[in-house]
Amino acid sequence: MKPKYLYIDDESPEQLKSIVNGFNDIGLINVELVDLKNIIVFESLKSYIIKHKPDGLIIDLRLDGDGINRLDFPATTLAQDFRTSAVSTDLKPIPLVLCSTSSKIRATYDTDKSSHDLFDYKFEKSANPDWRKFSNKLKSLADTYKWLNEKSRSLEEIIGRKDWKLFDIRIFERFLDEEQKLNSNDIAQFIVKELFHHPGILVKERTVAARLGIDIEASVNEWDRLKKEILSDCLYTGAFSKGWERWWHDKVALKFQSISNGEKLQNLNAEQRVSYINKAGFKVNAAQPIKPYCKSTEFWSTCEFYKKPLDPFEGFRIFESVELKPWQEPKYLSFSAELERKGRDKGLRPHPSELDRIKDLKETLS
Amino acid sequence: MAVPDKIMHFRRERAQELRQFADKLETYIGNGISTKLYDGVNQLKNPDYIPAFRNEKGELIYNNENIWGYTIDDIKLDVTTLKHLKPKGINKAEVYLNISVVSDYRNWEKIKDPFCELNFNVIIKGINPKTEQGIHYFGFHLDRHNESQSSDEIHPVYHLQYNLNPKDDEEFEYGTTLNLDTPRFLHYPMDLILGLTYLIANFHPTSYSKLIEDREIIKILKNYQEKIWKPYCFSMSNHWKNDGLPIEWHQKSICPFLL
Repeated sequence: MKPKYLYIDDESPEQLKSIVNGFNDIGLINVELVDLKNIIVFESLKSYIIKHKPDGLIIDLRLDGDGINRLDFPATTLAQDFRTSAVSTDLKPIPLVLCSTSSKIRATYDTDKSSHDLFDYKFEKSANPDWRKFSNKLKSLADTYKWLNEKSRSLEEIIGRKDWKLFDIRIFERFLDEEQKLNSNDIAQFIVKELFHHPGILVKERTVAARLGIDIEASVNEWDRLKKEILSDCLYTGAFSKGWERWWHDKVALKFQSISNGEKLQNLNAEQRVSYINKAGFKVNAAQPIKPYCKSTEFWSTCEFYKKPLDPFEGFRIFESVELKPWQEPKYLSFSAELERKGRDKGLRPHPSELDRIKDLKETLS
Repeated sequence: MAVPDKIMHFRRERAQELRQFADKLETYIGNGISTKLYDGVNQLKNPDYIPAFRNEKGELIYNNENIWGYTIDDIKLDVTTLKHLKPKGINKAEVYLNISVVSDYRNWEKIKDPFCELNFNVIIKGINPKTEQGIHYFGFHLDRHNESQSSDEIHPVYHLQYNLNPKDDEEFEYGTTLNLDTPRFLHYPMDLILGLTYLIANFHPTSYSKLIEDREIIKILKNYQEKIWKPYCFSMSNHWKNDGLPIEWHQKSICPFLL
């Protein structure tokens, strides 16, 4: 059965049709718009939602905005109430998804960090939304919440690996506390926000390619073949993996060692890494540094703007709204991106600790 | 083969000290430096993990339950002492430490060689934004010499060597520099705790001065100096008999690391 999302927005149903249709045309989830015409007070909206038993909620950030069906409270109030009810009553936790225009998200949501834990995902009402991507994530969220709500799941089941003791023990310690059992929302927040959104034990495909020294664009078919033939066991298959593709870094590193006579990725540059991979029967091309300022090919990360391989040594840590845990790796911008102030509209900017070095570098090169 | 409880107890104590040390480094240095050290914590606590090593006859010994140790790659530390870096123009440098330590727990409290094997390999990477090649390297390592490896050159058991071309780049331009294996500088042994502290003192001196003000760190460092340096120094000074003359040369002026 397709998961059912209720969509709550204060704009007129006519204006919202494209969003509802966008999701429903893809067909992975069912989105029903809540008619807010006769709903004004908080309690009546809440009982409407409880009665309709949704698998998730999509909520417009500014319900108290200037839409024709405006309510007296913002999305965060509703979300907060649902999260609290899920703890204090029998109401099972469901995914809460935030939507808004990017400027509103930036102005309201990004500045109010206390509300970040309330939502599982946010998407922007842009001109050309990627409905398939959003649908995939929303389906994965709803399905996995349901799976987690069914019964208590072990850490092994959740992450799809038995050997989690290999990792920094601080990562999964919270799962071991007998007193405080985690609910589906806690688990979702941890997996999606802490493990998926920051490189660490799990990384994105582009980071895998960067660490293997490979230029994805110049090796399309061979990269797909490599993923299928060599890296398939390195794919994360645990909770929420249908919505987010992530790879186990430790498995990728070991897989590489199995074809490199034990040479480790971090001791080699891109040409050397690629030469071992090609000796194992592939024809991938080595990635080049981001021109003209980057020189190192000891890639380990990617530039958040250009999405190209980057040696973090030459990159600049980006500012992130939450403090990183010791086991999370920073994300980086390349100097080229920084010089042209690329990605500022997406909120990409260097960490304050990098500003001196950027200034020095600009002076050196001028 | 699982390690007996008594030895696991010893290993868990070492793991606890390493964890404490790692957490302190996170406080004073940050940038996720502790997460690599937790690899060592895991290995120490894992009863199925017994490191292998070559004994003095050159035989590979594995699954000896008395043996403990860890291998950690790529511990990264920023270099903050950039002032005298050459060539000119280098504006950023990082130190990378790869370390493997193998030890017999029965020797820990004795005046004996504390380790069966030690590899302490350091690469320093610098960046010069103005030059074409841009990336510069320097390296040194501290090794324990294995007696089974015969050599004409003199090998102090723990020796430090420089390496101008640590990446073994075949096209390395030696310019007017010269690189050779000798001399192998006599150096005291260092495990992860003493070794990383040594690197921090040299490359991150402001953090070092904070570290050695910390009560817990002092306790850990004192303990490791006693377990690793005392046997080394006692054994060497034992070459001469003290004929009763007062010792007037202060040990801390010889070795400022002593606590």
